Amino acid sequence: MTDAARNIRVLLVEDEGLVALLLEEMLSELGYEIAAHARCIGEALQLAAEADYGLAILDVNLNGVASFPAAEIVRDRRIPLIFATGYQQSNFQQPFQGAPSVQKPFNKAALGCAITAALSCSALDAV
Amino acid sequence: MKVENACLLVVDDIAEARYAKVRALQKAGWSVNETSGGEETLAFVASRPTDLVVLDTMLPDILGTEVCREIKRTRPDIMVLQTSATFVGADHRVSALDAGADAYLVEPAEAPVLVATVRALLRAKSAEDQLRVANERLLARTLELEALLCSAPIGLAFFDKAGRCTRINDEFAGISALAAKGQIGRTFKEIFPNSASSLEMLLGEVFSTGTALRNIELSEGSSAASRHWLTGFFPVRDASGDITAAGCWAVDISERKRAEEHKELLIHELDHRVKNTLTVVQSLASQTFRGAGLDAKVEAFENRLCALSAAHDVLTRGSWRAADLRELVVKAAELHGASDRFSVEGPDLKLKPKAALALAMGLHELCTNALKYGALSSSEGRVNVCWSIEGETGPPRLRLIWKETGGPRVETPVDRGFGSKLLEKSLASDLKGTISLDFSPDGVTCAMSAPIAVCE
Repeated sequence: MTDAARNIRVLLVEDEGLVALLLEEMLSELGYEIAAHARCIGEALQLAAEADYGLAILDVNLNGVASFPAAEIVRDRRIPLIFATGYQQSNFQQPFQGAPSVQKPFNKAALGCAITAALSCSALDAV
Repeated sequence: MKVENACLLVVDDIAEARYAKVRALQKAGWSVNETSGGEETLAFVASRPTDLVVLDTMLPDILGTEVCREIKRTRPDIMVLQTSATFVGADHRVSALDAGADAYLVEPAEAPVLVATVRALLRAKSAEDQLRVANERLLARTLELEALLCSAPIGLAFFDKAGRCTRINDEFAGISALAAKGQIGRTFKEIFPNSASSLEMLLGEVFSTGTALRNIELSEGSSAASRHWLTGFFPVRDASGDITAAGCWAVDISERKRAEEHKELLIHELDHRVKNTLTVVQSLASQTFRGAGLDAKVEAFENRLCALSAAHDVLTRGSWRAADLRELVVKAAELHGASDRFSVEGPDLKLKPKAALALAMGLHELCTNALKYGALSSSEGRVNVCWSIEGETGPPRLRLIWKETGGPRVETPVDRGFGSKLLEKSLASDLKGTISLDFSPDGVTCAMSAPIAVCE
């Protein structure tokens, strides 16, 4: 377990089961624990508001519905987030255009980099 | 009509007088016909080419002044020189000129005076003829342009220096859902309140610089209801070259714009789905093979998948028509975290999708190999990628060279892996070119050569 990963639990928002499985596997290898997994926008909204997590990884498109409303809840709770998506960042809705993201498909290293960036980003916010 | 080729008619009922005038005019070089009565004269000018009539006033059947009036009514282009030995008073001359005669000569007139008067009248007629022909031509041109203005499938309008509309067709007026009628004299601010500022700027530029502006896109409204036009602005100059007006053309391209936007959306949507599918494939491979002592293989597979996906990104940015070669190389370096170790040189070049994907995969293998065994495995090593178009002998070819320097001593691999195979077989065939991979001890060099057809 890396230092960064210590005690950080992840909210996973991903509608594709196999992709979620891949993410869980990579996260566990990187030393993170899954707090909760949302498969649709309804679950995402609820878990984003109620779950106990220190980082959220969100797919942008949940069965054709954008996940931005859930992302807003995460942001309002001042919890760092990452988008994991096949969309290019220019397609992100405001205010998430500059948000940390990882392009699907990605390898463990790229995911790790994105997480580090998101966590340091929010650490800077806190200053 | 040329003055010297004019056809003349001398009218006099007294044979001697008529003969004297005919002789004088024939000697001056003109072709001359003669008649002796009013009816006969009117019949003659109605049927035979005549440019000028020397018309005596005292005729046996109709008074010469009346004959003149009739000629001018039916053939205003024929010149009439009224003559008389009988009516010589001022009032006679006045009434003859008022009846339409172009000049009045009191007889007997000396031959040179008659000839000079006829010549003067013919000169005036010739000038008038030229003017009339020019006028007819101008009118025909105007009618052509008017018809073009009415039936052209593009909007056309002209504005004076004050920005007032001097001419506008229905198509142009339709842009603001107005009728062309009633727009003349109004300023473009009144006609197009929504685009006034951009129009003012563009017209101002045409008037101040005198250069035509082409293919300028103007838009109005937002999102779904927005309208777009392709427009052009051009100066209208007078004979001395001064700009007197500015013209403007406009084509409604709203439909095309919407279709383009829709296509962009579809491409991005498809791109997104492909990425998702690739990730699912990645997950499947991971679930299937990981833990069976194949972790390194799975990782290599994942990295190839990511390289393929990155090439898709570059192609999507080019709407899947072409990918920028430099961007492909830079992206490959970035994916391997080695951007600062690369030097990249070459002209701007767009590759077709198939060649771009193949090359991206090839670059990925080279990067991976360099990281594991080559220049990028040491802290000092560098990679130089350069390309050019060469074609002094034969058809032009794209030549790209990957050259590693400063790395550890290179050993020629005993057993060629998938990377080499991909480069030497698959890439070569996709590029319809040749690849040579050289494991020389001071650094790997890979030289590719492909026909220019792989470029956009």
